[in-house]
Amino acid sequence: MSSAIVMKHIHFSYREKSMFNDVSVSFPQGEFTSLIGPNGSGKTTLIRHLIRQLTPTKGSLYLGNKEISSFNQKELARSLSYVPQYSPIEYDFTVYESVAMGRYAHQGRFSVLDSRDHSIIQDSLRMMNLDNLSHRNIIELSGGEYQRMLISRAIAQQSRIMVLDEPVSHLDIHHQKEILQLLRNLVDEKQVTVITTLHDLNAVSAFSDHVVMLLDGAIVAQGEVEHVLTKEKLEQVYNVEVDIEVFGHKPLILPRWNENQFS
Amino acid sequence: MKKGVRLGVILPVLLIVLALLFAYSLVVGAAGIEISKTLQILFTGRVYHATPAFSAAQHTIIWNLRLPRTLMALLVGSVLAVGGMVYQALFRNPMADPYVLGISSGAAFGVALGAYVGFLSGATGMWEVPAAAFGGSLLASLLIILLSGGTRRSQTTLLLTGIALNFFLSALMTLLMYLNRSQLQAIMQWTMGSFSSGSWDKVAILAVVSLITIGPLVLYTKELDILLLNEDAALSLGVSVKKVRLILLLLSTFGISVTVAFSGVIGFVGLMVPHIFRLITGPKHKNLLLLSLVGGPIITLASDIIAKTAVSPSELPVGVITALAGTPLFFILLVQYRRNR
Repeated sequence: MSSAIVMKHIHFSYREKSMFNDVSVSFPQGEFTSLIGPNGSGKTTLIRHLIRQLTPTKGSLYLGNKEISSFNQKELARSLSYVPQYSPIEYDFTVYESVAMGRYAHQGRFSVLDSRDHSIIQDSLRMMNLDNLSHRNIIELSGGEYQRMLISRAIAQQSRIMVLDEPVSHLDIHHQKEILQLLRNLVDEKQVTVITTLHDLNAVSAFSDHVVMLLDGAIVAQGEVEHVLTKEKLEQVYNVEVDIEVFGHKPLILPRWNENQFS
Repeated sequence: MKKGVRLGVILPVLLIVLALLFAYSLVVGAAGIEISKTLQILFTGRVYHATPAFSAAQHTIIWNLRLPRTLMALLVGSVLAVGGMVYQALFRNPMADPYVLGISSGAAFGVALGAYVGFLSGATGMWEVPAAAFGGSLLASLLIILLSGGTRRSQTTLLLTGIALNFFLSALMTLLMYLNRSQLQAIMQWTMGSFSSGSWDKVAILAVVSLITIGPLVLYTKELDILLLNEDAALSLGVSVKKVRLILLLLSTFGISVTVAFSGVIGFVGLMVPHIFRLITGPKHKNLLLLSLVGGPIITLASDIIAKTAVSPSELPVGVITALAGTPLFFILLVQYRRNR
């Protein structure tokens, strides 16, 4: 299995405080990888390294077989797209105009959107079921629609890798399922490498191929779902008692909210 | 979809309004010269040949006073409106205006300080005053960026920093006026803008400056759109945020400081114009740039006409008119903004 991104022996400290101490991770190409771990475990720090918003103090990060620092900004955007945490803006671009921004990295200084760009934008909208909303102002979108718009914009970037930071944490289960299924389709149909942070462990189990588990800035485990989502590791990392049932080969995680829940 | 008004409709309307204001601005003034005579004078050209139709004095009034003044108002309006538009994108704040943020006051302070230390005394060329203004406004922009924590902090912090900077600079200006009473009148002029000093030299320089500051912006409209998103998003879409911000900041600050050097501080044009057009055609900068370019001069020409006629035969500073029109809008924006939080 080849890797889309490889982090080798990453050290990172911020204001004298060590956040990562010799972290090595690889993200398999064309797979759905979830980053899990309690709040403050370093998920966001890891994501910010992947999108080059943070530079490691020591160690190296490869995208394909190139060092990430050797990319210029547009090259990076063509290789890797990023869907930030939900933070709506106040400017009333239409959905179409917003998604069209995804084409920026493919345009020259003097060029305008051509027919090929427009058909890519249309396809990206269709994949996220946004064709009917393309002329809607983005400030009028619901949380789920807004998230689909952001993902659609990332699709229009046509990068092989898509990184997402908590794409569903503000959504109800219906919209969580919708977004995660759409991301799953990207992996299955377009062989996009999806890397995302997720809090819901059962969603992780249902949708991921690969899981990276963090605690206190260190990787506790990485690998296939059933090897990472084990009772022992989950209890160690989250400090909560859990029961695990296995359906097919997907683990179902049942946290013990209180002592007599299952008695 | 509220952006029903098309560019193809609104732009011609604006151009007609601008042309009418331009013509009217040539006709109004203390010396009554009727329209037909004004046209006649314009068509005979810049050099006066003795004729019974009009006097040499009338020819001078049209060609060397009213025409350069009108052209200056036009150019300054364009630069201010477009400059405001760029600042709003740079700071991701619809209330960011060179005047509100203290950038214009910085330019005025640069000129006043230049005059005080003798850099601008005596026979200075046309470029020393703009240079001093540019220095002052760059310093003000730098202070704003450093003190407000750049573009990441809250927008309220940015506005408050701008207001504080304005207080500080106006105190310094007053101090300079007291230290240098002989220049009091001149310094006052920069703090309250006016187009009355319009001359062909200034028009020529302003035309060049407009071209080199606004021209390149045409190539940056995509980036201006994307800068309205947060920084992470802009970077991940492929915009080299730091580099683009620096280029845009230098271009707009340079343009604005030159307008201050020639016509003093004229506030709120950069706030009003982009805001009105954003409401009509949406936030896309491709449209906004073109509309601001035409809309800015409409505001400055109309304000100048009011300044010339309201208390005729005396004159008001044009900055007073734009501030009277602009501050209510600023309040409305503030209230709206608080409601959205």
